[in-house]
Amino acid sequence: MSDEMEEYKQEFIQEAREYLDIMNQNFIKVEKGDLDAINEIFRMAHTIKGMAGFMGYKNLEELCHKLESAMGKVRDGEIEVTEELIDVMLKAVDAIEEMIDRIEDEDNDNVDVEHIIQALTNLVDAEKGDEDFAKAEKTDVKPDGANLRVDVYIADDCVMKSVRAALVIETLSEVGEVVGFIPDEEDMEKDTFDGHFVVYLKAPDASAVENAISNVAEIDRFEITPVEADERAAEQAEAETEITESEIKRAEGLEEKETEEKAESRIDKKKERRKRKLESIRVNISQLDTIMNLVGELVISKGRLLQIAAEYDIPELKEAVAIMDKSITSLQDEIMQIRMVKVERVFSKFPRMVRDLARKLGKKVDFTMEGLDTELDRTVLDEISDPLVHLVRNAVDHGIETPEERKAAGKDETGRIKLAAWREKNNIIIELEDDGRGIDVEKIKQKAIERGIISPAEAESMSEDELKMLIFSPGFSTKDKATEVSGRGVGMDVVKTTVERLGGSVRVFSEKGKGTRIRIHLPPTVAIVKSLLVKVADETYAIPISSVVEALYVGEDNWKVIHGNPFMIVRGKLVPAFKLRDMFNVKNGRPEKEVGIIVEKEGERYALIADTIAEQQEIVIKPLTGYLAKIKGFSGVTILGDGRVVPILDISSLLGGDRLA
Amino acid sequence: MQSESQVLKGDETVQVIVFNLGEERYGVDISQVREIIRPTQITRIPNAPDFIEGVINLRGQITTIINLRKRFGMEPKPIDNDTRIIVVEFDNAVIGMMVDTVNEVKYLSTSDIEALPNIITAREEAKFLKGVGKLPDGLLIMIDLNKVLSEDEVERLR
Repeated sequence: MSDEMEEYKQEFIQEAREYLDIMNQNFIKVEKGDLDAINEIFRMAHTIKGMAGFMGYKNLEELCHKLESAMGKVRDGEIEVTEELIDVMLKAVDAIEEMIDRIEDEDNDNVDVEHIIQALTNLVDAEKGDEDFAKAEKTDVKPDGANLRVDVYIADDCVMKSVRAALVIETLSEVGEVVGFIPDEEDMEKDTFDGHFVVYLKAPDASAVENAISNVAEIDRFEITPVEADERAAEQAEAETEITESEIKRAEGLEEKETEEKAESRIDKKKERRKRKLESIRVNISQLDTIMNLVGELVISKGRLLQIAAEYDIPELKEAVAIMDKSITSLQDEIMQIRMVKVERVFSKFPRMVRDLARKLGKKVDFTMEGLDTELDRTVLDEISDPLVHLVRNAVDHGIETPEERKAAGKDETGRIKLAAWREKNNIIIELEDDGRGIDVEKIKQKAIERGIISPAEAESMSEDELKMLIFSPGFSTKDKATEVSGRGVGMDVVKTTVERLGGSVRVFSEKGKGTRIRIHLPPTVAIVKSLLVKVADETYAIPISSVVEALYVGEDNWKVIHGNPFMIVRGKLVPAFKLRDMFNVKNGRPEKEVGIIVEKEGERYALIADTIAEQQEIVIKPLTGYLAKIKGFSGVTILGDGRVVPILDISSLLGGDRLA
Repeated sequence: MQSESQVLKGDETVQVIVFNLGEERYGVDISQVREIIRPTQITRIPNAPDFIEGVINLRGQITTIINLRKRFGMEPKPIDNDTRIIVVEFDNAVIGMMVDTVNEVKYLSTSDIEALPNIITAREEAKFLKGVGKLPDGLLIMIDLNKVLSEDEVERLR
């Protein structure tokens, strides 16, 4: 396959996937009665069909065509929206997805979709179903209502003229309504296609059209000419006279006007979308990562230069370095911003997932989402995606009861699950809440003892909150057997370890019979963190500021040893203390003064005892690899301005597992 | 084993880096080595396996340093002017191996490398021994650095 072709294919796959995503979301809306979503799906199916046709994927084209016609029927009110209908259509979407995967992997769309096509055909009535596919396409080619004629001449050296033409048509459909084009798709695919084609367009703004086309590559030239201006004017005049004719006609006219307004607002929306699209470009993720790494290196070099400048005390150097410092800081902020993606990217698959799962389990679930615009670093979001899937599945499977159970418990038959994300100070919070059966603390206690996770004696001394956290222990599952639904992929323990590895924390709130709320705190980014540098003898360690609450000098009045265990007294409260010196086997002598860094882990406070605090600075996390990857207590290392390597403490793994011994 | 010793007897020249650990002389194929550096400031990573000396900053890249003496079960020796770190790339990670001295680069004909007797190579801890090189001034223990580093070796050590 030639490079150009490959490029088109990649573009096609990427776009198709995006459309599929949107289709999936819209189907859920359709089911909830949002009929606007139908148009959207119709349009997407049509676009994929068009692209598939040009690329020569006939199966895909046919399936999309069937889906499109079925959607048309739904839109025209000829078919009623039922759960069964949505099921069939979602299956079709799944099949399209499968085809896209196959096209990507094997460059063919050989997926058996006979039964789906059959089911879709059954939905569409016989008359329309028999209609010739190509003919249906051709009926589109009527310049009805078009106000612009766009003549496009594709460059002679363009390799796949038909695909390029499809791209142009697709681009145009974003700034206006494509009423038709000549020659038709079939003719464009022929060798005789010379690269000149005409698109009839209904678009409010000719300059937007011009802008849009000029952004498509390999276009030799194009002409935009207004069409049928006279005819349209005549039509309008006619309509006006009709309005004066009678009351009824006026009412109709108003109605027409109303729909026109609607159409206009739709076009406005489209324009807006188009605008947004123009302002963004696609960038390969690995390139973004490379840039991020380079910025990391720059930040390190910056630290080094700042240090040198401080040593030599040359005013000009200091000034130059200060300016550079500012630029690098801005650059860093910008790149971090670029890496931020909306949680929507992961959340968007949940409505469909919840729906399918609920239907399968015979449960009724009303799933809502909030804060889709909340942004997270791409790496964080990617990492958190699977754990979230697990949590949501878990909520549907274990959380929400069957309608009968709910009725018996005096609850609404339909369970509620809410997934929300928001920013709180320096953290991103993701919360999943259900009004299901909640966590049975007694049951958890028994299970945990049975599985040997805790001893009966331990169980007695544990608080309810601690017991609830046991659901995140490895090897713990509240249901006797892992069901097909939740027992797959990651477990609850993975949820916790993933979140903690990212520097976040998980908390669970639950009341038996009332529901469960799982709250995840995450840092918005991971790569660069503000840290406290502490010294223990001649060694330096970094503690991420996000886990630090405060720092206090250790003195006689706030240090207490109870039954051999040291504690710090912080505002009248006993905080367990851990000497880094002992934890890390530092051999050199004791300092005169020590400092206690109070850190928080799962809502509990602990004091880490170091000699001194050296400074606070931004550090770039570099992961430890190989032998050191599995070492507990460290999330990685960083390189300081002077080139020294400093380990970064990972509070959650440093302070042991779920409970401290 | 049979076939391997035959392969070794094919007459080709290999470049070998010669280093010392105590009294023993070792050789490693130059193709496995990325560079040889003097020890810089090594940062200890607490709770790491005993034979890991720590990490260094090798031009911005975090490099794990293995103390080959400890890895081979010898008495550790303080870092001095002769101490060198042989940097190798393994499984996409860069790893440094601390040795007492690096002496020279020698050309060795493969016919001068003899496979070790089975009784030695069959032992788990000798897996990385490739053979013995015969030089005019004595013997050279050839080692395969990749095997010194292999994951299961590490697992076994724990």
